[in-house]
Amino acid sequence: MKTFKKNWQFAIICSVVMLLGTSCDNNGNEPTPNSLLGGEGRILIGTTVKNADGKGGQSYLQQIPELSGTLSMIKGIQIGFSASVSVTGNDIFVFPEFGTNGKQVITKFEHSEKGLKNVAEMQIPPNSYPVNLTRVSDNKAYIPMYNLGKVLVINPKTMSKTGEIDLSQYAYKDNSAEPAYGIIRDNIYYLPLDQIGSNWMPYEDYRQADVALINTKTDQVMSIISEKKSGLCFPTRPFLKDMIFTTEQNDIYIACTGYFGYNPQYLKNGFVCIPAGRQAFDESKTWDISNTPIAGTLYKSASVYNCKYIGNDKVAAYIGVLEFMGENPYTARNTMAVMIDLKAKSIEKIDGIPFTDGHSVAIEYHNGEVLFAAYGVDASGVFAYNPTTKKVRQALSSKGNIGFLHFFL
Amino acid sequence: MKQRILYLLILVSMNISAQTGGGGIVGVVIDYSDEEPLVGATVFVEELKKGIVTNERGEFAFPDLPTANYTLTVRLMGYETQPCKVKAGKGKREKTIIRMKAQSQSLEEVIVMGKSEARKIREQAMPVSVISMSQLQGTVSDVQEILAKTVGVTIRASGGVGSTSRLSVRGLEGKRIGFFLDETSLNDQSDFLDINDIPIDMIDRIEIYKGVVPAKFGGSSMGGAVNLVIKDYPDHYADVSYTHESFNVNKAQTVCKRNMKDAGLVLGIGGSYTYADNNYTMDSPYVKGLRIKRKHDNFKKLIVGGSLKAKKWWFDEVELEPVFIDTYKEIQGIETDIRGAHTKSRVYVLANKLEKDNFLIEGLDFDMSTAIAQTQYGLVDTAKIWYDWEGNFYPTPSPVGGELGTRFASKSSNKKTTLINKLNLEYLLGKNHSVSFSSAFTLANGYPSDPTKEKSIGKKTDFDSHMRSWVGGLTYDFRTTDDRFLNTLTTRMYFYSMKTSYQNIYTSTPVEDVALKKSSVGFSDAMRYRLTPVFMAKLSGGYDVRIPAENELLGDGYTISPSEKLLPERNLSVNAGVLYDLTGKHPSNLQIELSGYYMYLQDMIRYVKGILGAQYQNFGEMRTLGAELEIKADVFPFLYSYGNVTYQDLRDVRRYEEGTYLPNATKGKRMPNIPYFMANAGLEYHKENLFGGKGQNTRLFADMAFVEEYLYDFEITENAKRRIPRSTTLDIGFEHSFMNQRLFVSGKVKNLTNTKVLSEFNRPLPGRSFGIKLRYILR
Repeated sequence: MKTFKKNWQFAIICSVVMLLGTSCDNNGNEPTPNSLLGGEGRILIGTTVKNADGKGGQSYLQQIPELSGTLSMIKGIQIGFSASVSVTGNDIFVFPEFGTNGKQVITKFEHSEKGLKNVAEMQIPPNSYPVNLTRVSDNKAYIPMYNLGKVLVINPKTMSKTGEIDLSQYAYKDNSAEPAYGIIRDNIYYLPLDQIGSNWMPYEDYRQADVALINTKTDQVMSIISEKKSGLCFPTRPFLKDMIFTTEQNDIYIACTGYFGYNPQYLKNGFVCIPAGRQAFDESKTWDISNTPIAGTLYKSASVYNCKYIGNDKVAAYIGVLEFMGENPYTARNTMAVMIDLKAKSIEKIDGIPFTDGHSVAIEYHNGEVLFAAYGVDASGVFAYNPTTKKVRQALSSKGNIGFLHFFL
Repeated sequence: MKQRILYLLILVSMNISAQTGGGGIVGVVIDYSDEEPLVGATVFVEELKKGIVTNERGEFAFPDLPTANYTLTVRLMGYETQPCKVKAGKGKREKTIIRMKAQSQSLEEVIVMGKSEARKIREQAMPVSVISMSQLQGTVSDVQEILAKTVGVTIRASGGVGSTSRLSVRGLEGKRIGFFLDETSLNDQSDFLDINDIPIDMIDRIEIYKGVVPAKFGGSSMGGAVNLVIKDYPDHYADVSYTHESFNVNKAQTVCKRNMKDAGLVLGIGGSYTYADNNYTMDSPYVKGLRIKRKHDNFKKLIVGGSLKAKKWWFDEVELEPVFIDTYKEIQGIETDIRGAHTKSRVYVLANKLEKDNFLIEGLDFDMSTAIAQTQYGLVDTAKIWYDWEGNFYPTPSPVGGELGTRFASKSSNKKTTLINKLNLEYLLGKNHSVSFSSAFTLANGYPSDPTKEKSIGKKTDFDSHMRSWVGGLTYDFRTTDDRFLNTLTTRMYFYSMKTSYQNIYTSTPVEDVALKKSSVGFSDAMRYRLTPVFMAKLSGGYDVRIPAENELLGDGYTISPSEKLLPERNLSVNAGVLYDLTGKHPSNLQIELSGYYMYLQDMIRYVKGILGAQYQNFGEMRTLGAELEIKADVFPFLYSYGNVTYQDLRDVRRYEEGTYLPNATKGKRMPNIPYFMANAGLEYHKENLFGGKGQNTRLFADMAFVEEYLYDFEITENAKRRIPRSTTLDIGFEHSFMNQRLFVSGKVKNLTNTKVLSEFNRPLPGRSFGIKLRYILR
């Protein structure tokens, strides 16, 4: 009995002392440097698994060989929630979570068909909201910082800062003009300014489209041009590269989102144009599409959420429909796929693509098909639309929101 | 009187039976007040280092002792020290009756441990953990640190003293874990009154209910509740203490009580003042290699309270308590260097408690508490520039200011009126049956005002609100005569209404009126069966509803946005457990408790972060399976040890994505940001007069806490998973008391090995810290 008593006492002491003395270290699964991640293939795809409210969640970047079957995210590289992605050549730049949260770095990956290699990181000011990169040359790129009202000039090879362009003096009422997504034409960087207030919407007394013209040789602001007549505002969403595009005639068109359909008083949305050879808007080419009937429906466009120019004055687009706005802008299935004809000034609904939410509005044009990422109520994935046959097929299904697509050459 | 005669008879019989042997000491240990024999008390002869345990009749005997004067030390948890000097003569058996007073501090020559209120509660049918005063006494720990050592409980802290922290019981956390002070809900004030604001020295015990929460606690909790029970004080009592800890944390506390027996009045006054710089250095979770000294985390809190308790005003007890709380808290930045933003609040509370047994009719016990609180609170965030950690500064996005990253400035002056009434009526139907009715009514009117925010955003987004809730409960208790079986059956009705307005911050749609009325029904049953006197089994289950708290619906006026349309949470749970308990029956006081549980939670209210601040949201469905094991024992009379292990597996079980027929991408995945495997262990060495002298006692203790690496997100990919690292922390400390427990000196080293500890969302917590406390009791 005594032995038993001593044994249990000894056992308890030993267990407690062992626990007290145990020291464990485990710092999670850090990726091995230079390892190839994200799967194999030539298609880069970004997905988001969002929370029920759509305001948070997690996002992944990965490669797949083809658009078919069901997407597995198991090979995905986790990136910040709704982090935006820019691609130039084989270089992939990933921006911070929602532009502002989490690690304040821009991460550069290098694409190969075998996988993605994390090659560099660049620290950026916190809360600055850098969301896209426009290549100027091999050694120079522009990164607008939406919250700071500045453009970061970097060397994308070394991922180091080489300069800064301050646009804060052009801000309306506040300290940032919210530089969005720009395009380079004839050595001029045309950079739209969103000019929004604290509620992320354009000021109601400043409904116009401003564009900063920046000399890419000197990085100097040449001028600010404005389209004031139409009332179109919010030119380009800062993480969608194709809302500013050039046509075959080298005319620049800029899609203006307006108030996303969430201000019933101001539903104007559409396109403004800076024609080839000019550094000013041609108001005759401005098109407010909010009054144009959408063929095949009873609805009209309340906002342009994304678009992709596919040639011959045709623009594939996602537009917001007022009747489907709902209460939550992050989860409402209010987005309809349409084809827009800039010349004929007509809009036509594309049947067969589900109404999608704000996290899946990616559009790409590949091998003669327009690929729409969509997250509907009963189907989600990538839907391929053939403009010639006007047929739609579901190319890829997915459990998450597909928010980004890119095809490497 | 009958019992006195009985004990004399026992002593006589013992004497007779002992006459066959040599000289020695025989006796019986009884309760001072009811003279019930105390089973399992350890009687120790100090001079001979020899001990024995009282039998089922409270008797003990030391035969054949050499002639001498002896000092008996009696240990029984929950009882006061009684000096006991006994002389044993040759051939003579000295007879003694040792009367022990319940619930006090022990020690001079007799140490105490035994069947206490704590044990009685632990034996209830409900799944409950009880931390008794003996485990709280003297340490420099705060309440949260003590709770964190309890099986199934974790603390979700975000920084130093005064920083937001949430209690998690079995993975459920936030407002659903009820926070009660003497059974009065403090949940609606929990943004202003923290669980750590209650001085440990005032607490008699902490009851932690898990799974099923008794109806008397109302309907503001689900899945768990923590009830802090305040001590009953002696006639004259004054307690003053001062604590100083690393990072310039200072706490001063005092309690004074005066019991005027003739008038039947007890007067009390007390208060505390906390000042903390919280200026610890942390590694930035966002910038590699960046070390940040926290310079904007200053915290000040003043609490002053009084109490008047009357025992002769028709009721058995009438209590009036005015309380004033004043808080100032700076906001520490992690992403950016916040230098100006802070919050402040003032709370005025008047609480009343009425108790009467045999209220109006024989057998009906009445217990009602009412509290009215007026709160003024506000956020000041008007800086017009903000800084990064390199010292660079930038203009704020809004010209009105605001450095918190919300794109708007704030200078709010919000007001809130809260009225809480809780009523319990218990009627004893007989020896084995009782029924009770409980009612909990809450009224909360909010009056927010923030012209600066309105100017920034260009519109009003916070509106007056009026919330009412009522939870009624009916409980039937059945207890067999031999106390082997106990069953508690409860049903509840829930009602709540909310009236306010809503304006979407993004949109320019018209202001929408919100008028909600909801009702629901819940039930629970809990049973306990004593298989042997020391081994019992418990089984309970229920379907509970939790009404959203007022600040979940309306935000906190600071950074949590309103969420007026939140649905109540619903939880189906089953709990089963066994308890092997030798407390008071064996010198080891060994307790082993093993529990398992299942929970299915619908419309879980979850705290989520968005780009314009955080918000509470309903989250579909979640399933939890868990197991807990806890072992405590006095390994030796001088060494107490405990250990516990918790495994809780919380999984997302939604089949479809919200509002769709699309398969849920995270179905079956473990819920993120909730630890799933934790363990605690500790040793405590205690010895009287370790360094000589008299009336002194020394305790040395070491506590270990282990949290396994857990998930930052739902884990979908096999690549580079973001996780919150595993942590093992060790705290050590001492307490030395002088003058028969009047003067205490205690010290503690928290996180001795300076382990890097990250909380949820990888928030860095303080590293190694030191604390020292001086306490003097006048009684």
